[in-house]
Amino acid sequence: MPMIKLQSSDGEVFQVDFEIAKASVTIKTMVEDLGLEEEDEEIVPLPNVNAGILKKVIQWATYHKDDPPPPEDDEGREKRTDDISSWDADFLKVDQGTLFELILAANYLDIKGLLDVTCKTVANMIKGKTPEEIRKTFNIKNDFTAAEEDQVRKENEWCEEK
Amino acid sequence: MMEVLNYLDGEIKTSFELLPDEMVVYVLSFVDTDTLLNCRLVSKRWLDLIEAYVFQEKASRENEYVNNGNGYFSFSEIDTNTVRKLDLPWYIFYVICKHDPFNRNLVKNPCGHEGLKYWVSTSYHNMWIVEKSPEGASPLPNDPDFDGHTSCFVSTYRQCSKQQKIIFKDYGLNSTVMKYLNPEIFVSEWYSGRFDCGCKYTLKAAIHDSNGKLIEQHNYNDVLPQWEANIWTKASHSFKNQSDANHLILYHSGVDTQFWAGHYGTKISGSVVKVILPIRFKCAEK
Repeated sequence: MPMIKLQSSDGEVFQVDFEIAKASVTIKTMVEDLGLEEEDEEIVPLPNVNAGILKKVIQWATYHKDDPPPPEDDEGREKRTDDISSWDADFLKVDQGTLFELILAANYLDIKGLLDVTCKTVANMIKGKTPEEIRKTFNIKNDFTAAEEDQVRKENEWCEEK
Repeated sequence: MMEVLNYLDGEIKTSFELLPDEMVVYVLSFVDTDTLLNCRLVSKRWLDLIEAYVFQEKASRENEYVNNGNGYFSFSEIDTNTVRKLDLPWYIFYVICKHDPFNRNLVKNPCGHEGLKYWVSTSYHNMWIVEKSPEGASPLPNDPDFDGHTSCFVSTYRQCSKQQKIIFKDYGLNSTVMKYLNPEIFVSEWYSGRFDCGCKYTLKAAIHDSNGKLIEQHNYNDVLPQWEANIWTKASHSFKNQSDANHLILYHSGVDTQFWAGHYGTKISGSVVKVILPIRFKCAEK
């Protein structure tokens, strides 16, 4: 089976089955554009992904290598956020920094399945929380003045006006 | 493409600070509508992104979901990418995500498939019945107004009338939303009679403002002669520029013209009241 070499931003090289690496549209396109052949010793550089994250991405893509390709029209896969498989849920039990870096990597590598499952995981961390709890969870600074906050609160109220 | 926000060198970025705006939008569009409304209070960045993109993105994605399933969505005729070009303020997209109120039938139990539920009888003799499929008349035409139902309401030799009040606020269409959209409200209904008995039909649709004051009313009457009555006919009317509409009362009545005992009177089904979402596109971006 053809293998491909991927190089992380910090210089580590990973040898990966091309069938698995193809989960990334970015890598697939790069390989096609470069016209890489099986025997080539060429290395695909991925300057936006460090070794730790690339390892996780390869792990994810390896587990999901036999998944059917995402349909053109998404058939509503995306609407639900409670459809995360238990393997993915375990896989994403990582610290917040890693989770967000995985989102960035999935976006850069254009792996829709990984992007959606990571985004849904973060969305699930937001669901049902108050603004204060959300700020605390993600270490976000409240940069509203009291008057501005009051204004937004009022707008929310008339949105829900019965 | 949105620009990646630049942060000061040396400052440690955490969680959402790592993500460019477009990724924050994507993540937030997976959050449920109620929490998302509260997310406007988290920070200025979130507020700006939610108002500019997130509700629209969410509406667009859920439109795609519904179009591929059995659901209904405000712009089911519009493809998902086109939804992203609609020029509407964020709170209209919020209302769409939360209530899905546009371009769909707001009349409950429009064909009598739930008996007389949701309808208020306004005649002394409440003698309406429901026929599972029209007797002595053609079956209901093949039309989306009936939403797959086969039944109809049937009146008698005494005048039967009933009405249903549709309150637009119940679907998130409060005065701010209505004022902004100034929408068209579309009303229609199907009626017929038996082949062997004539009947009379009346439809009244009245739109009121929040003080209960009548804004506009449409009256429609028809008499179906004996031996010619069994054709399904659609009565319809469009109310334009309804920025002050608060509720609509849909009233109909029927009676047979022969005074025959039993249910030989007007048959009514497929009542529809729709608020039409005005489609306006953003000007081409630079």
